[in-house]
Amino acid sequence: MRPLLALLLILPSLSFAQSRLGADDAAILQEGLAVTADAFVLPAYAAQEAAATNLRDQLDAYCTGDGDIAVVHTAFADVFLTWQRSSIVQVGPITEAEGPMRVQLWPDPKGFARRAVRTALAAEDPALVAPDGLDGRSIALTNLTALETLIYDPLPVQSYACDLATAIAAFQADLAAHLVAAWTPGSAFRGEYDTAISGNPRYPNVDTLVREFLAGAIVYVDRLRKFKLLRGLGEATGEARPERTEARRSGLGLPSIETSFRTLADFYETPFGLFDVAPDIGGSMEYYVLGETARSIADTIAIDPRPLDEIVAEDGTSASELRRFADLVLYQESFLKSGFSGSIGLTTGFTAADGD
Amino acid sequence: MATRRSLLGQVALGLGVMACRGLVAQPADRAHYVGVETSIATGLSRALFVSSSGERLGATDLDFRAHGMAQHGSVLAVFPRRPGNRVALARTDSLEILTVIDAPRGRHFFGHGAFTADGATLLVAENDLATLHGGVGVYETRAPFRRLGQIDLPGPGPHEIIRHPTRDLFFIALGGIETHPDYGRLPLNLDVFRSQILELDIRRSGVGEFGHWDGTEGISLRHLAFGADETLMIGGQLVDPERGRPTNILWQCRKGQGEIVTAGRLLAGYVSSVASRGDDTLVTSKEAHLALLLRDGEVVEATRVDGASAAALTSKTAVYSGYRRIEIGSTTLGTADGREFDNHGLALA
Repeated sequence: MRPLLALLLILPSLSFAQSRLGADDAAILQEGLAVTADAFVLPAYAAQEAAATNLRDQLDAYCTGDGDIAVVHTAFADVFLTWQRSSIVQVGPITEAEGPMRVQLWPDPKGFARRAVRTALAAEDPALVAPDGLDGRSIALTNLTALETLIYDPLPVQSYACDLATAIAAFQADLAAHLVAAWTPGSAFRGEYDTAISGNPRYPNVDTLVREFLAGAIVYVDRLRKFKLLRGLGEATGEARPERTEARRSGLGLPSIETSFRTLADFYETPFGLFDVAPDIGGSMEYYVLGETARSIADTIAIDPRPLDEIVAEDGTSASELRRFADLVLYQESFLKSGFSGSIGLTTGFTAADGD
Repeated sequence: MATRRSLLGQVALGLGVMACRGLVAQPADRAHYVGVETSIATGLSRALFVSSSGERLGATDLDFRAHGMAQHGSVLAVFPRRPGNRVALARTDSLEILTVIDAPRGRHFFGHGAFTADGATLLVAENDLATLHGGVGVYETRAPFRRLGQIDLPGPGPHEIIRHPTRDLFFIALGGIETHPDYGRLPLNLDVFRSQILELDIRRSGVGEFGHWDGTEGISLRHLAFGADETLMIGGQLVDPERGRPTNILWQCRKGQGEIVTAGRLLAGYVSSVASRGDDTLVTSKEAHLALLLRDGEVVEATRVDGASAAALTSKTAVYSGYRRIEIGSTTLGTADGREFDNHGLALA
C-alpha cells in the first residue's frame, strides 16, 4: 500500500479512482452518456411525469363526480407503461431510498400492497389523503400495484378510497417530477453525471457510470425474463400459472412485456448514445442486432389482442412463443453482462446494491 | 537380521518417501489467502487459493455465488451471497469439497458464519422467511453434517459472525433490515430499522445485546473484526440517509463502548469488509474505491482500488481486492478472463 504521504497528496487533488479507459475513449463514452440522458432518459421520465399528472387530474375529476372510470383506467395504463420504459434506467435518483419499487412493487407474492390498501381503507386516516400525506409512508401503499388494486375495485366517487387513489397518483406525479428535475441539465445530479469523466464524489470516473447503467439494464432484462415472462408461463408447457402474471387486474401484462422489448431496442439504438458511440472505441456492434431482435419481438407481441393471463391459462402456441422470447432475452443479458463491457475494456463490476 | 544391503535399501526407500511427500504436497498448503472469484456470465463463484507471493495455487469451484468464508484447521466454509441456500465445506489442502449444506425449507443464508473453537460446529447467519427475523443455524462440520438446531435472534438481517479469539463467544452484526427474496433486496422496514451488535454464548445458547450506540441510526452494521486488546471493529453501510450520516459507518468498540472512527468519512457511506490483526485494521469500500490501513484508528496507508471489496490481514501482509485485481503485499494478481473478485477474502491461519 502507499504510505500516508501519498494519501495526503492523493485525497485533496485526485480523490477518484483511475479510469481503465484512455482519455479519448472516456470522452467519447461521456458524450454518449450525455446523449443517452437527453435523448432517452429525460424523455422517458418526462412522459412518465405527464402520464402521472394526467392520472392524478383524471382521478380528481372522477372523484368529484365529473369523470369516467374508463378514462381513469386509460390514464393508469399510460403511467404504468411509461414506467415500464423508464425503469430500464437504474442510475441516480431512482435508486435512492427504496429504489424503483417506489413506483411499482411487483412481484408482490405476500400481498403487501393489497394489505396496505386494506389497512388504509379500514383506518380512513385523513392525514394520508392530505397534500403530501403519503410522503415517507410505506411504499406498499404508494406504488402502482396499490393504485391498481384501488381503481380496479369498485371505486365510489367522493369516497375515502377515491381520495386515496388520487393521493397515490399525486405521489407518483411528484416522484416522476423529481426524476425529471434531477435529470435536467443544470441540476446537481446531472452535474455529477456529466462530469464523471473528471471524477466527482458520486462518479469517480466514466467507468463507474457505465457500469451503473449496465447493472441497471441487466436487472431490467433479468426481470423481463424471470418475472414478466416466466413467472406466469413457467419454464415449460404444463407449468403455466396465470395468477402469477403481472398487472392482471388492468390487463397490462402483455403490453408491459411488449414495452420492455421496445424499450431495449430504443435504449440500445439511441442515436449517438452510449451503445451507438461505443464502436468508435472498438466496442461491439452487436447492440444493433439485439435491438432489432427486441423490436421485432415487440411487434410480434403487439399483434396479440388477448390479455396475458388468458394466453398463459391456455398454455398453447402463444405461450410457447413467449417462452422462446424469454430464451432470447438471455442473449441480451449476456451482451450487457460481458459482451458490451468487455468490448470497451471494462468489466461489469459489482455495485453497492450488489454488495452486502 | 538387517544386512547392509537391506539397510541401505530402507534408507533409500525412506528418502524416496520423503521426496515423494514433497512432490505430492498439495499446492494449496502454501496458500495464505482465499479470495472469491465470480464468473460474470454465470454468477457462479470459486474459492481461489493464493500464496503470499501472489501465485494462484488452485481453486474450488462452487455451484453458487459465494460471499464470506471461515476457516478451522484444514476446513474452509464458504457461505453464499444472500439469499443463497448452500454452504460448502472444502479442504484447504486438497481443495476438494467435503459436503454442501442446504438451508432448511423456509430459511436462507446471509453470507457469513463462524466455527466454534474446536471446529466441530459451524454457526451460520440465516433469515426466517416466515417472520423475517434473523437466526443462527448450528451445523455439524463432520459427517453426517447434520443441522443441530437454531438460535433465534432479536431482530432481522444478521450478517457477519465472528468468534472471540480465545473462547466460544460470538459476535453478530445484526444489520436490522428485513428482506425477503421475493422482493429482491428491497428493505422492508427502511424507516424504522435498528442495527446492533449481539453477543452469543454458544454453551448457554444465550443471545445478548453487546452494543447499540447513538449515531448508528440509519446505518446497517454488517462487518466485524477483532483487533488488539479485544477491540471490536465494526463496519456499516448507510441505508437510510434520512436518519443516518455517511460519516458514521466505521466504529470501534472497547469494553462495550462504541466510538466512531473518523477515517470512516472517507468511505462514501459504505464499508465492504473489515479485517484486523494486532494493532492494524484494514477497511475497504467499493463505493469509495478505497482500501485503508488503520492503526489505532488513524489512517497510515491508503490505496485507490476500483471496486475495493475484500480485506484480509495475513501473518505476512495486507491483502485487498478490487473488481479485477488482488493486491497481496507488493504483488498484484489479476482475475481470470470473464471473472471478477467478489465481496470478501480470508487470511488463512
